[in-house]
Amino acid sequence: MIGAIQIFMGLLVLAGVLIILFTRNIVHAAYALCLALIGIAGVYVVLMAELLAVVQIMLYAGGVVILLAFGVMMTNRLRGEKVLSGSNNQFIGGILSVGLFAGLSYLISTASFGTKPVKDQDQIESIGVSFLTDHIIAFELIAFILLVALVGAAYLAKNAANE
Amino acid sequence: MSEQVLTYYLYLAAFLFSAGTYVVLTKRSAIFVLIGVELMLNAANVVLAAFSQFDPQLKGQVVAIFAVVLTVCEVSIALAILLNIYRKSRVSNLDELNQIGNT
Repeated sequence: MIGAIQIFMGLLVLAGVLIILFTRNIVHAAYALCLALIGIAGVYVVLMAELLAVVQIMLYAGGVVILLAFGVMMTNRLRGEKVLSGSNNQFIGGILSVGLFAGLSYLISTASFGTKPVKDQDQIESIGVSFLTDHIIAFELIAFILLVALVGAAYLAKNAANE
Repeated sequence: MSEQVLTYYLYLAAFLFSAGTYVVLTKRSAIFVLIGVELMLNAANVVLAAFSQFDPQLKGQVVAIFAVVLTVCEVSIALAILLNIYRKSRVSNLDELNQIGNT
């Protein structure tokens, strides 16, 4: 049975995504993305994936949305342009995405997943152990990639600012 | 968690993915397209988190955390490149961006 809290989190995500779909203002879209991302973090909490929810709020709602707001500020606003974005190919894009949703919904409704009862376990401990045992190479690599990407992004942005 | 709840999350993820596809296909501004890419990546993460409930080793959540970190890298690099393009050619509209390099 779907609980009220799950429906509430789903509605939060739905509201954010619908604002993104129908607004023309980029700043409104960035804040609506923040709303949708916080809703998704709530979905993770309901799914008992607490660590993923914390990562989601820290990295997405804290980092990515602020980066997007900076992007709006550094491009459109510097010349005093309005931060509006038009749309094109709305008909074809609408048909394609509605068709995608219909196809995915058909697949989901026909599939049977054979669920089993969920054990309540200490998720953070087992994720931490698997980070440092099974996925140690991926874990180290992801740290290195994050460092290189952020330093590279700062270098690229600095060159842009100097010109 | 029953199968009904699992399919609820799968429908939510399908909606997120198709909304992201619509935004990527139709919006003109590059930042809007980045927002659409974020929505699509989040749809994948929701599916990973929903299915990893049935996995005692929680591999889905581990992969989802890696995906979140990679997304942060992608957005920061993409915005730096956008900033460069904007400084060089004063274009933030993807339709007007039809040449690359020094002009």
